[in-house]
Amino acid sequence: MEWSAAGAPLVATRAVHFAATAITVGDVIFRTIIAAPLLHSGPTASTLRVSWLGLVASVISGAIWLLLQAASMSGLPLDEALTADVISTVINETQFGTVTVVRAGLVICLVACLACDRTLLARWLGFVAALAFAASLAWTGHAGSTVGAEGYLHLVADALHLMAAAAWIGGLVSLILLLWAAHRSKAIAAARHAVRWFSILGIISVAVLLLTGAVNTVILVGSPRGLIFTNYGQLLLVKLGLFAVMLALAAVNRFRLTPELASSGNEQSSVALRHLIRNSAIETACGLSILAIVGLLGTLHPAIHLVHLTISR
Amino acid sequence: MRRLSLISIVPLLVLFATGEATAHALLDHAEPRVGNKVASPPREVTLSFTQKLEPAFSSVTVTGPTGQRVDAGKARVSGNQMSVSLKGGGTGTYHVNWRVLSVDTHTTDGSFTFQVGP
Repeated sequence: MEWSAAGAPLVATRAVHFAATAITVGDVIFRTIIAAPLLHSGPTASTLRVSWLGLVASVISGAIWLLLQAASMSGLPLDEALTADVISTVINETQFGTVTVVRAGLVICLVACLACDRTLLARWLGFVAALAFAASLAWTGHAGSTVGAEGYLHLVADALHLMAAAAWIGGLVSLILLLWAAHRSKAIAAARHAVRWFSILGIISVAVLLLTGAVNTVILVGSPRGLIFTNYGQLLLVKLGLFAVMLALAAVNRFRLTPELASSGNEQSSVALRHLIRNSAIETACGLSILAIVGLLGTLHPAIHLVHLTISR
Repeated sequence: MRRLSLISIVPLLVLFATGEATAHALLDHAEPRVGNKVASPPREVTLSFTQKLEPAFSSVTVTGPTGQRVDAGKARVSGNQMSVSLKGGGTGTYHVNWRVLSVDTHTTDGSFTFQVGP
């Protein structure tokens, strides 16, 4: 068995692309749902830059991913694989290529929507395009190749999982920026509004992540044995551990710091706001680590194949 | 958790360090069956994999008992199955070599044999 393109660069590129996609999509969702009422005030001004930077990083990492994938698919060394013939075959004759073209179209749509961010129509069109940008990644992974009727269930679950993850992990970056701006300008009311609505978004995201994560785990891991005795399962356990840390921090934010932020004492609110920023930063670090793990998980054999396989090559 | 994480990460680091390939579409079963004996040369060989395949980057070759290729050339790919017609090649051991790309973008290759004879 041979993997002609170096494995580590492909894994790293996938991780960066997933993170950039999540940050872009999370910021668009954050701006549309949470920050919209505050758009004309100071604290939200900086988050639009998050979308732009995320989108640029998505495009660059997406292009590198395409080139590395072309080398991997063709079995040729990277310098020999970068020909018009190989790349056009990848783009025109593989599912990965089709998804790449669709995602490039979504990037163009997002650029137009971000450029016209002040109009309501552009903001909501951008919201839909952003969700599609996150969901389309499902067709590049294991879900896109699952056989039979189970494949449709897997695709739906994975697409929802990606959208929820982007909303939460990506949205955290925008939340931190907004809270930091609010802290500096003493705009506690804006911080209260953002934290209250992000809390609701977080609860919905966690519910979707738990449900769809369970479906994905049943399809890709299948048994406790697959979870414990395969690299795929073990890495999934690390991912679940980081998810648990994020949940614990979110619970502290929701049940302790949010009520303190809403208290009438300015000093207590200010301390709560600083703690919220710190916890959100730790949550973001955990979330980005999860995306790095996802970048690697997608390159491993699903555990269920290793456990159930009866005939090996 | 921390101990479990460390235990979990070690094999992954080894995986990276050795540069071992990791891929997806594994051979689930084949017809003629892997390693089995059939009475007469089959008209085609069909391989079924654990995941859907990309036709543009999937291929199979079959060599007969004399070492000459007996496959008709381009393989037919549908979903997770790949088939290739055979030209016939007498009794003895047939070698099947396959290389496939799964839809989730990973390449695997492998080989197996089957026997033809009484």
